[in-house]
Amino acid sequence: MVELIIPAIVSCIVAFFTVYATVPPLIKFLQKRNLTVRDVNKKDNVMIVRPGGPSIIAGIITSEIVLYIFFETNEILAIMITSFIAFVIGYIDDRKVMGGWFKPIALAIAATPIILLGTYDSTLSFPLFGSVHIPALYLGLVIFMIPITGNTINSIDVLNGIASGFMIIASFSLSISLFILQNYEMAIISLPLGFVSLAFYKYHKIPSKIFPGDSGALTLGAMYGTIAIVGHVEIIAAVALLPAVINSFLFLSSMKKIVEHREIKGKPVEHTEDFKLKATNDKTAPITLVRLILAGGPLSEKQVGYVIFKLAIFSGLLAIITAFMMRVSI
Amino acid sequence: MWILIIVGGGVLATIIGPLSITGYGNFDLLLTSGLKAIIAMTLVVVWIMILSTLKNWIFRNEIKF
Repeated sequence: MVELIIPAIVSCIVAFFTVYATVPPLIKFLQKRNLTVRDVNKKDNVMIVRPGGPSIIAGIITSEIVLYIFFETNEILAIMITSFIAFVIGYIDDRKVMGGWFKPIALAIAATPIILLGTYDSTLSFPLFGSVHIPALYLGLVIFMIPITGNTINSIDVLNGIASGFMIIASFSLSISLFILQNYEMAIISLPLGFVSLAFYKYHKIPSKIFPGDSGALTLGAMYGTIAIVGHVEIIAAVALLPAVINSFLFLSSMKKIVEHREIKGKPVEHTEDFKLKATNDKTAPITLVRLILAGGPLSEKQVGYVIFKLAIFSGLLAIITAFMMRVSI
Repeated sequence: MWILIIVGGGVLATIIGPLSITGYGNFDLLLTSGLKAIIAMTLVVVWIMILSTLKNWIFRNEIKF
């Protein structure tokens, strides 16, 4: 146990400070190149740089390299390679407008290192009821998991600080769950995700100085999905991600197809005179988690963010309870 | 949704998990796996339908979009 403390501390420091130190020069670089988008939820014409993905992937890769020096496991390689492929996919989407199907299909390909490195176990564990061996189905789960987690985090990245803040809560819940399940090595391997998100949140929180872009959101989501598979905590990971899953589910079930945000004509949310967010009555607009939250009345961007974080904390607690339930059998 | 996940997991682990097809030699594992996959996917479809119904019910009764 003691021998795990040093790699844990070093990797977390490296993860945090790599992102913390690289974001300011990245902001300057992106400003020089005029790679900015309008922050639609601000009164004035505020332009924000993006993508922050390069800093996020730098933090993940450097910290996981540190861990690889200590542990030399294929699980770390799977996390690094899958996250990097997801970053490349996101970066392509950041620079070039791709169709709605591009990301899900490309992210399914990103899952192949997990299979090729043999870092998955075909047994799916459930709380209270034990586990079930499903070799054929599990392969499908591996292929579907990365597009689901990647796009789920990407689709919740609609307000300042939400994607990174949400990922802090979800990933630390997952790490705590791995500690509860006494999978200490995987718990330590998962910690950099939380610290990378924490460092990025400093610049992403309201008012944002940088947006993660597709490259950042997909990288975070893909790493989360890979940890869920290689750490054998798929169900716990799904529970911790529930608010974002609900968001994707509401979106898909109202639109009835996979569609890029920029292709949607109807607006789910509009602004009041004092620039608070308000749900619209537009029937062509998708139903989203933010629209659902605003159905109770207009709220500021900060208030909506806090509601989402409260939901994330609640789901995180459910995930930790689920981890305890994994140790009980009926 | 959390309860649906746990109950669904329970069904999968206690009912579908122990299922096995025998008498087809080398194809036993493949057939068992395929059968489990079909049942699991059907369960996922049922799960989505339940969630959809719940969502529509909430929207009709609570929010009135």
